[in-house]
Amino acid sequence: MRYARAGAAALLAASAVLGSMATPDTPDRPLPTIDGWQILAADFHVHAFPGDGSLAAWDIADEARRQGLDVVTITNHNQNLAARLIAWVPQPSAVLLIPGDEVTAPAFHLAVVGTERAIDWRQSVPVIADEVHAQGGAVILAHPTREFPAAIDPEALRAVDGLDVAHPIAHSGRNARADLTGAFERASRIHPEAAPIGSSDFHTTVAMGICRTYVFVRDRSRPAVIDAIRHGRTVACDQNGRTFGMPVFRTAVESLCVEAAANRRHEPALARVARLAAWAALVGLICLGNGAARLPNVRAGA
Amino acid sequence: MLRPGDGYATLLANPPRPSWWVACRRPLLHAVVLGTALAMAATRRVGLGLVISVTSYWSVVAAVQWLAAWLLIRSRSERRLPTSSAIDLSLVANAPWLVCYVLFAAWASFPPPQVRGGSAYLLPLLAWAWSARLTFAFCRTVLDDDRATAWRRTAIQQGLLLAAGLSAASAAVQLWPRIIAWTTQ
Repeated sequence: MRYARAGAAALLAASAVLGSMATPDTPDRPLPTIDGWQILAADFHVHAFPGDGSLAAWDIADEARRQGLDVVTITNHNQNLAARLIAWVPQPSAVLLIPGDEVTAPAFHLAVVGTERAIDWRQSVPVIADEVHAQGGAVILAHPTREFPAAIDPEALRAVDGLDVAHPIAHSGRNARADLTGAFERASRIHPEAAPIGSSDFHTTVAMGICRTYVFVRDRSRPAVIDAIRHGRTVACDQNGRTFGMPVFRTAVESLCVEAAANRRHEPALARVARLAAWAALVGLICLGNGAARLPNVRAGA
Repeated sequence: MLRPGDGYATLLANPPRPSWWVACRRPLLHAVVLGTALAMAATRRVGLGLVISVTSYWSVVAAVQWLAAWLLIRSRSERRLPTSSAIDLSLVANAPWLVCYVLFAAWASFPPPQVRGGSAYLLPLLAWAWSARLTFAFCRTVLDDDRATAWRRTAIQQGLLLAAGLSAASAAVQLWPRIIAWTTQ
């Protein structure tokens, strides 16, 4: 039994090493540019540990890089403790990590980008937007479906800088997809510079960057990214490679969006083998390394 | 695990020798299984650095379980086993959680992202109930409690764990504004 346990532990270690080999360091890729604008791939709604996300800031940076993202905002619900761990990520990092939070109120969820202090949720959207702007950040109305009254509130739609139009929730049913596009159309009529946003709302199981935003910036910096959101220089990209935004910007990133969707479907065989081996090793460790797993077959005094 | 009383009686007949390793081996297993499962679920890959990193910060869960086991054992003044051996046997009751993590990892990391279906939310509930049943058997067999005392001790320990888990989860997802939304809509 002891050898079997050691075997399971060795298999887990070997599969982790194999997994590391199967996903080598992603090389720095040149940023696409058009007419002097650099195009960055961003996910402005990512949850982290400690909070309801599964990965801490430094692992989010690695995963973002693997997913071809250049910018990530850490947005936990009504707190920025996890976002403060960005300071622990070695700098300069290939991925620009921006602190923020998800202001979670009964009538709305707001992904706030570029704030150092958490925002009190017991305020209206316009007041929150003013506070965020005063901190130098930007406000995104997150997954504005019909369950959130702010999605149809003109004051809220006027106050925010952008809205989720591509979000995994759109694939949960026809209503959600229609709600997102409807909210964006309403916002665009009130506020023509409203930025179309794609975000993954990553916690654990939905892949980071599955929906993403392409931002058009003059340089790769936090102020430049926030300026792009506040002036609507963005294109939202959904998980099927569809884009949303102004035609002039969409044309520039359509191929990038399709490529990102295709990359997600491609997985090296070695990585799949490593994952399967790791899973088998975990099953082995539980069955062989835990007395409880042997309990069904034993009787007192046996 | 289907007849935990019998199982615990067998383990008690040949208990692990007391040592710091015996007291730590099951929390270590718990942390590794949870860390690996979460790494797989979140990234659909395993990598040495990733698994070690995720395991390290999520080991707080195993630490809380260890603390709960220690408190359970210290709540009994007369003990048949040294503390480290008793902790080891007590933490056998976490096996349902390990099964839960592994099933979750399979559910989350093997199908393509678009076709993950079903509800994984029942799993923790089942794991908790099963774990409570094993803890009760531990109290009856290893701590030698009578039925009523074993129920009381199990209820207090599992209640504290549940309260800690729910408090952490409520804070993480900000349950209060959501409750307001549910009750006002």
